[in-house]
Amino acid sequence: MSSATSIVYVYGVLANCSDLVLDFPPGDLAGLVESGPLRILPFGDIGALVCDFILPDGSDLEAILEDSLSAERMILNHHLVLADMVSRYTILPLRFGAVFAEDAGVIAALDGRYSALKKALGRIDGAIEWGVKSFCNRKMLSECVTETVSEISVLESKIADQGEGKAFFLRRRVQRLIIDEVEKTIEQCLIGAQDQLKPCVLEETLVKIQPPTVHGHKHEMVSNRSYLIARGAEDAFMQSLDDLRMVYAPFGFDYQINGPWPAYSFSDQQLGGGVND
Amino acid sequence: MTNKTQGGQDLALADLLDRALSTGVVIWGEATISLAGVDLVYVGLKVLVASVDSAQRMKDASLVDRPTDGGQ
Repeated sequence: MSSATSIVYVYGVLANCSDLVLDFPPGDLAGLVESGPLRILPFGDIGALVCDFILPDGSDLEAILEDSLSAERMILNHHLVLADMVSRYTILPLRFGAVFAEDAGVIAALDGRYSALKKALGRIDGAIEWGVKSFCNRKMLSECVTETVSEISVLESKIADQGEGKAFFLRRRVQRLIIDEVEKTIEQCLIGAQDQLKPCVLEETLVKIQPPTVHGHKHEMVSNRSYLIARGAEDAFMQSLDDLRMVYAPFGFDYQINGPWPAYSFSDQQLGGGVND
Repeated sequence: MTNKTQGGQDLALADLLDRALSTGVVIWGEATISLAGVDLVYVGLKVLVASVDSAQRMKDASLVDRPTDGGQ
């Protein structure tokens, strides 16, 4: 005879959570898994935000995740719970999929990695993650460098006076110069943007560049970064982004911001040293 | 959803997957099934990608191309 299995799903780790009030639902997983209320498993001055999932008879989480829509709902649930928490508390997000058989396993994990968890919580304390994608209109930038780089304009002016053969090679040279200048200018603009945002950010990290089929922007993504921003500095960060748009729009640059995120990108580590490693 | 993309876009699934599935703290332990779970989640995501409405958009997403993190 099969029976339902209860597992403990862990969303993240909080500090100073003794007076924390969990007054929101764990998210809609109706029909997917039966879930209990969100609860905190304390260990000293830290605690794990967990939820009991009651898996259907004879099922397990892996099997549920093999269904794409179920996986998507589970991942969204993971994010929505963390996003709700991060609006009020500092929470160290765990990577999706942290499941324990019972509370004792969670407590053991907190115990075995207490120092590392405290350090990781300190790193993101009072801060939030924002993402910034940079896009470049290469055609516009090419026209820009063609007009502004003197070597290119000099060569272009010579082309008309040359015979067909020499003009061909001059055109090739101009094309190569434009490509080089465009790359150089993109690099300079990205460095300039980083320098401009730096005073407002605690940390920054690279996120993988997305292909056009994913980002959906009409121009090429040239940078994808995440920034850890102190809550009090968010307005200044947004203002700096607006300033960036003004400065670099003439070069064909556009910026998209996404977030706020739980500090996923700044909690990216495998914590070792535990009793179970 | 706490999406504030200035372009007025919805929270992109790819952005979420890039974060929730490839970043965040990983706690390993005998009592967890995370080690297996993460691998299986990645496998599951390929199925997800094939069937969500944005399947075509996601086909080239980094997540699909990312090798399974055997050690993570």
